Amino acid sequence: MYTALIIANTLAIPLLSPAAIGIIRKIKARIQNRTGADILQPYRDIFKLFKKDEVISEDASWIFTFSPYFVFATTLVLAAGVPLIHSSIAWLPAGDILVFVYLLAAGTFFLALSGIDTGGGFGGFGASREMMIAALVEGGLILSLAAVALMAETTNLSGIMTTLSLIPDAHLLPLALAGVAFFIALLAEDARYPVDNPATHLELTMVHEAMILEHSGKGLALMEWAAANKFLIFIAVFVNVFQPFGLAESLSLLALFIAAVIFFAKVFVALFVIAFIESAMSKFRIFRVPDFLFTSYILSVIAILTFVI
Amino acid sequence: MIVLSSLTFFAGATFALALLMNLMRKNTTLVMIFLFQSLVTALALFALGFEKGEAGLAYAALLTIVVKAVIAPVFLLNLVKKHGAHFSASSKLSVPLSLISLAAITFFAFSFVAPRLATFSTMPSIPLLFAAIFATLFLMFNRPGALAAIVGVLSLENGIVLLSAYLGAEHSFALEFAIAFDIAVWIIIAVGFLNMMHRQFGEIDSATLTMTHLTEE
Repeated sequence: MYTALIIANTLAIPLLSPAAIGIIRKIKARIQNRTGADILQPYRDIFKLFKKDEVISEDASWIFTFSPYFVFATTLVLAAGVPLIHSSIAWLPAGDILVFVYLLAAGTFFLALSGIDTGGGFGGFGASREMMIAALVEGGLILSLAAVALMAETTNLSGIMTTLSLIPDAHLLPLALAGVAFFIALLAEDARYPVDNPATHLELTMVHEAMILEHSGKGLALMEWAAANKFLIFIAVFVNVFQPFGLAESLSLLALFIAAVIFFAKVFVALFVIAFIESAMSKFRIFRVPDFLFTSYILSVIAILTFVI
Repeated sequence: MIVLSSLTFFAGATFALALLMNLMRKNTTLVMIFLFQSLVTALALFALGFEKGEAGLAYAALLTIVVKAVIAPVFLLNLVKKHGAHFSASSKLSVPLSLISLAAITFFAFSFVAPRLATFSTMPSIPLLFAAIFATLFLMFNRPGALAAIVGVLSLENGIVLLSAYLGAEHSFALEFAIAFDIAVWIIIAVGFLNMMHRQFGEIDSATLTMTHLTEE
């Protein structure tokens, strides 16, 4: 029963992640007075891509073919470690914050490698930008998670969620500051505004899209699906770690159902906030991105200072 | 006990808003954050008045709302709108240096200032309020715009009022009333002065003033 719940928790991310992308696109369309595509459209896109043949450059090495599978697999392992509705329903070894951060980094590394592997100009500058962003965001990401790990006295996401659900009021400020820092990291890691524009293929603005430009067919489907998985994983960590309420306290069906409803409500609010940000502000110039990411780093430092001292 | 924890929350919110003021680049956003900080200050004074059973603090909270959450934002937003001064992006230090300074300020408030006040109060809010006051002082130093300086002074006053109230060193209501009146008059004078400055120099950002029109025409 317990193993089945962990498998269900793991599969929930890839099954629901295209819907999260569909919902955010729908909200953005509505904010901009457009009807927008159906929220199931990302599923159709991925399904369509799986049915298409792949076109692979003659200059591409095994890295190019292997990368989509590796990137997708890392998101599945990450999904296994993140509890969605009950803090104990997760594969604990994958839920350590260091495993979390460095699995993400491994996925990003292969994504960038596949971008430069074919020798195309777009893939090269996309990979270059991505590695710059990844290097800058890592500090804020690790320290924001380190701040909550210090508060909870454990580095495992499950333990952190359990402990923080009982957090005293005095620790709300460091939690909120770390939450803002993590949210900035979320936007950068998931190629959202104001760091990247997920809906463009313009040379000047592309980062993530430039790296996957050479992929097609199944490879592109896996890359797109992996990006959606990563997005939902970040949202799940954000809503469950930094807004630690609503997790089920028992394994009864009713408790799990209520926790699932609360989880989806929190995810929807987070998606709405991101859609609002993307509709209300423009993308930063690449030279302003370091300042934005450094803000995440310093907010995490301040969160740790206000907690530790 | 519930009130005490809410006081820590208000102090945390005051500090977080002071940090946010340093990160914002739009003058209108700066004024709106100040408005929120003033409302937080008023709520904290209400909560403290309720805990201590002092009506004077509740009246002081009402005055804070009238002067700092209504009069000051209305005057300042009108000023921004009238002169089209929506943006004030310049700062003396670069963004990374500003952020490092804010972290250092927080470290200083928690490590050096708060322990020296431990004999007066061990409330967790005290270092937060000191950090908020220092962050506001840093805003005034770092942002050369006249509007940022005005908001900085008013926000500094928010921090000082809360700190004195939390330490149990609040004034009588008569004195609070006089201070609030003083601030209201000061806001009107400051806004009038900024209008004159704009008429003379065509600018309210003191960093970009050119000293070529100092003589009366």
